[in-house]
Amino acid sequence: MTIDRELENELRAALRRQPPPRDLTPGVLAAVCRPGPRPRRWVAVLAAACVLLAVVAGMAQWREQAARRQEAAARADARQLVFALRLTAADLGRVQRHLH
Amino acid sequence: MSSDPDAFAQLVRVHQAMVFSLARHLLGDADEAEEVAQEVFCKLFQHAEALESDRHVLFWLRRVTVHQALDHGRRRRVRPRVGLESAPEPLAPAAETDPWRAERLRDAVAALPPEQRAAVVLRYEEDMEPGEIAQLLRVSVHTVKSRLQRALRQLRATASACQPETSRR
Repeated sequence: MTIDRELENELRAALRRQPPPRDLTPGVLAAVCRPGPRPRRWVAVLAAACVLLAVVAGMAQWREQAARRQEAAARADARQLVFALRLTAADLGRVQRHLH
Repeated sequence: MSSDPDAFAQLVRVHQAMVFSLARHLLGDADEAEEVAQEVFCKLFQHAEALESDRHVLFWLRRVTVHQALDHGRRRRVRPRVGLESAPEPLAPAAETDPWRAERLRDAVAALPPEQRAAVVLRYEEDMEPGEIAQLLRVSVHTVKSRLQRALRQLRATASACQPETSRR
């Protein structure tokens, strides 16, 4: 018998089919009959929903901050305008007094 | 094929030894082989309607088991727990059914690269021809033959390394 043939026979003997230590049927049937959606799909849907929520919340916050900045700038402009009007009114009062 | 629970249970009973054994030899671990076998049969339940004959079921089970077991092995980077070098020398000359030698040979198979391991297990456990293995692994026959040759060369080297002194003379 050649060395290769001998090795092949040894491999056949070593790799002979081994039955499982116990019947797998009850476990398999319990697993396939288990109701409910697949958890991995749920995880993916949940992750996508979280990302979407974070994006929407971020955009809303950014818009709110932009509006606040705009409002603050408008208030500062209004204060400056009132101050300028007061100065003008004081100057006009002085001119009027000179004329009289 | 139907997904009727009774018919499906019968399918599991008929094929469980083949599926478990393939996974066991590809992974080198009985617990993990059981886990893989469960996953394979759960997939079979989902695909049962698409499988037309017993032969088709057998082919499908072999293909899915090999891929599932190799994926499982890659995830945990499977390696034999006992190397040939660390194994003790046998006291008696090697015989064809020597359990010590068979165990060393299984360890050597488990240490092969995954593609070679799959080819060897399908060839010597399932007694498949290189053409059938090629179809199952979706590679050419030439690739299968070359994987088998490389694997046998490696196994021959490791087998002769663990040959007891008395039988080497």
